[in-house]
Amino acid sequence: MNAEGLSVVATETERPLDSAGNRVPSGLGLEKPFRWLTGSAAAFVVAALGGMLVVLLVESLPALRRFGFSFLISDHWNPVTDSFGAAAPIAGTLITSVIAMAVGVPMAFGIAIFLNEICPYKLRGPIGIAIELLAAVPSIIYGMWGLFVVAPLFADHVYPVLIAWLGPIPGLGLLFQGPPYGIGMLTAGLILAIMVLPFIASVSRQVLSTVPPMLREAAYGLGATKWEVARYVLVPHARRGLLGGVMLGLGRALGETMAVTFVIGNSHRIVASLLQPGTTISATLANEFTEASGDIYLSSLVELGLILTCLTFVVLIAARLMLAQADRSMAR
Amino acid sequence: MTHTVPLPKPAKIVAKNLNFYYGEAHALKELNITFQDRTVTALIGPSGCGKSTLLRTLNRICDLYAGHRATGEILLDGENILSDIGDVSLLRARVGMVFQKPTPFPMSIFDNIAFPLGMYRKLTRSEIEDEVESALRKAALWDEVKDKLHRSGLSLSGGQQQRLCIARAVAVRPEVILLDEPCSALDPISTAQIDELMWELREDYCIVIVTHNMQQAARVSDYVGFMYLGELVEFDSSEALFANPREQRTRDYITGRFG
Repeated sequence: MNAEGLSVVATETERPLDSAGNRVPSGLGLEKPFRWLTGSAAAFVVAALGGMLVVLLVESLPALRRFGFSFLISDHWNPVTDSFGAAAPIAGTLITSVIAMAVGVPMAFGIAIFLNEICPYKLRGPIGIAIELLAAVPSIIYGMWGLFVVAPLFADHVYPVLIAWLGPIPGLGLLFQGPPYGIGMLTAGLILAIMVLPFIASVSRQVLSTVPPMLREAAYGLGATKWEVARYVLVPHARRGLLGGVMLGLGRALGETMAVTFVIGNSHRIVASLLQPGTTISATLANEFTEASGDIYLSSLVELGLILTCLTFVVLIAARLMLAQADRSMAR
Repeated sequence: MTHTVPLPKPAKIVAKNLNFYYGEAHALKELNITFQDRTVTALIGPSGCGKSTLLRTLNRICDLYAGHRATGEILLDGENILSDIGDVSLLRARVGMVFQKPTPFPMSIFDNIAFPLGMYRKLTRSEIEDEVESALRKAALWDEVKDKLHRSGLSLSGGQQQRLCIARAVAVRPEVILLDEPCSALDPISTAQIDELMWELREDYCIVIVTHNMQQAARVSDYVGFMYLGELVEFDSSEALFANPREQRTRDYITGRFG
């Protein structure tokens, strides 16, 4: 036991006195370093974030000066002529993330509700663990699986069907055109969906399990079915946490690099068809950083990184605003 | 024990040799009890005596948890609800429940009642509005909330929330209403309002209330069952049981000597 520990058990009269003769709490000696340590840990986060933003901004200045606003709307990406525009990777990032969310969120909610309300008790543990393990699979594995298994399968069996059935439909058909490569936006989006699934499912499951038992019982006690309880009571009650899980998944989908790089096709073109190759911000960065020759090229890549960071911030802020609005309409 | 008191009204629920287990724990032991229709029956007894457990077997809400199991018979209008009755939600629509703490759903006051209404009957918008109003009137809440039906159910006070839950239970038109310490989180004024409400609901329903409050049991109930350690120790009309308990344990409990 150290000196600090001993002084705790010392009797009142043996406690140290300060210069004015008042008793000093024995823990006071630790108080200052403790404050300093915890405070500096918090400050480190702010400093790291600030530093990162500053570096991104400074490094992307040459590109910002050269291309200005047109960087955002041009899909020209030509290292030979040093002419860069980010529209294709931005569009690719958004499109793949939207596909991932559209497929992943309903499935994740389904899993969470199934595990909490419907699944036999004996299976809840094993299935829960399987989901956690899915989250633990490294993203490069998803990429390899996507490239070597999913893409050929899609090229042979899925894309031709989509092109034949949905392609001729006016409007919607534009999304399903072109030769069936197997790699492209749709494949990337679906791989992303599988990758974000365990995150959203496991957060949703935890959030749903915090719904007060009495509220569940009250709903069941009125004769509500499991669907009615889930749809009208559990999900609305847990909406804040569920949205948090979705945002966590969206954050991962926006920034995911390796798996997407494998299956997206890495083409700086914007095409309407989801079946054609495209690129995302992080895939572009991963592919081109090593071979970026020239200041403008490098600076343009850093600006892409800045845009991705801003995109993620915007998502977070939008989520906050949506939550605030949802709360206001509830409390009305 | 068997009933020695005359039961003038028709039996709504009869439990025969009912046993209940939480895993290994034996919570109800060979229980026999009858709840009459259009009657308020109170269940009293110290914490852990099994009175809430008994209540929760009557609409099989205990089914929601693993390892909970009941043996014996519970006859609702002669049909054993512990046997395979198919969809339990149909049973729960007949046997409504109100809990210790108010449990308004995360939706508007109006929807809190319209939601269960829509589950079992196809109603037009105006029929739903009528039903909501009539349920809120029955629960003596209409005048307080009629101008803010579309505000969240969570914006009400605790007493109002509990009356909303009663209105919700009534709106489904159950045959039995189970109340599990409905006033334990409420102030005396709200408690008095709910007591009065129960007295009125008694005209139409079989009501079973679990309470720790002797005065409340004496005020609202026609019959009282005293439970201890998973057994029904004494069952009698409320005047008789409170005025003249036959069992020593009952006497000790209601005079506050233990429990």
